Amino acid sequence: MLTDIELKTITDEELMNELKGGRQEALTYIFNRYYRLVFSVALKILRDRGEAEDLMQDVFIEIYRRIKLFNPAKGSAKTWILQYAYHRSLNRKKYLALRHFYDNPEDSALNQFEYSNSLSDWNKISYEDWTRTIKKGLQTLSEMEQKVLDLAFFQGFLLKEISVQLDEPLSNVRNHYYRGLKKLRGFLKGNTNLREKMA
Amino acid sequence: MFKPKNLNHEKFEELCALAAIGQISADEFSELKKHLNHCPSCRSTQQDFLEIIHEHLPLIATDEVQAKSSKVAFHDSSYKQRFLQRILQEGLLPSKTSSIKTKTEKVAQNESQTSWPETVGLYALSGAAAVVLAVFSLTGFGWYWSGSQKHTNEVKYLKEEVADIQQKLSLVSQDDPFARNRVSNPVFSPSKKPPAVNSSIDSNQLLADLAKSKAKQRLTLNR
Repeated sequence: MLTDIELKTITDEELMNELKGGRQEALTYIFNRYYRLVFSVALKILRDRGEAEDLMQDVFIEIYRRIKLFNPAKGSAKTWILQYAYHRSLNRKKYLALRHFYDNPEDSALNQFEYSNSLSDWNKISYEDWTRTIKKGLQTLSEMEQKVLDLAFFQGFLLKEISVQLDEPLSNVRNHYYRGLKKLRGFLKGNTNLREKMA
Repeated sequence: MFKPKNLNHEKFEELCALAAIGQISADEFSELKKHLNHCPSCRSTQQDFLEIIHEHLPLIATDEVQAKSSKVAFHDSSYKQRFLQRILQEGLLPSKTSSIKTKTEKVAQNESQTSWPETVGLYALSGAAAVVLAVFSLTGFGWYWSGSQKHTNEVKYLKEEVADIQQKLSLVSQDDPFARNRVSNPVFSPSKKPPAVNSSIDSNQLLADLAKSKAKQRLTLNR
């Protein structure tokens, strides 16, 4: 059994394996390494420190509960944690935006998406290779589509704010965002189909 | 060629994209919900958009977010402590043995102590505040102490003065019949206003009067 000092010095992946093997204390070390990262993602998307902190805690608790799903062969622990951070933050933002008119949040068709590590459905390759594919896909978008997607997703701006920032009508911004996402989807799907055919 | 059905799908696909980031109005949400109930094609699109937003795009966000996360300022130990409290409450850490609990608390404590870049600034700030407070306290105490000492010295001096005068007056009273009145109406009586003339001067005057009267007596006796 590793000592506390050893737990502090081992790699992320080894730490995840310790957690997977039932060493619960490993969670506090994982938290210590990545809570700033998770908090910054949550804060950027939710724009509320209280909400961001709650979400940060949720992310690490979810990591603990789903640790069996972690596969180091597919990607790093950091990437895995970051995906959870985005997933939970976006879900929370969606919930906060729509809570006033959810009849029943649990049954809503829009709330049915659950993080399932479904990347494997799109491809059979590593995160690194898939990351390169996504970057290529983004390059196929028009300049405006790239800009809107970057501001909306990576910078955490609302489409209304992007509209003001780019001096474009909101309807155009919404359309650029949708077109960009649709093109990316087409590119990734095409890439997946191509690979499947080649396999 | 104009295809109203496809156009309709286009509209709902756009709503699916917007809903994936929570930027959709109440009316649009209601409309989309009805449509998704009977349109498998849009449901599939919705699922793909959600996956791209939630799972694929975060893959390329790592470096940028990593760089920005170091700029987020907050007090480390309080976040860690609250997280630790929560996982202990939810029973995610072994609660069967208190030793493990304590150990974990120590781990969190050590971790918070070792993450010095943020805490050093805080400690330096609180240290400086403590020094400033101490300086102000000492200065204030010194001022108070010297003031109180000064006051004590004055009282002591005045008491000595009063005792001295009273002693002189008792000596004078033996020869001067007016001195008795002066002793019975002390200079520092609170019921009376103090005389305009300083008490020490008054006693000197009495001594001078005494000396004069004694000199007269000697002259008379010599004659």
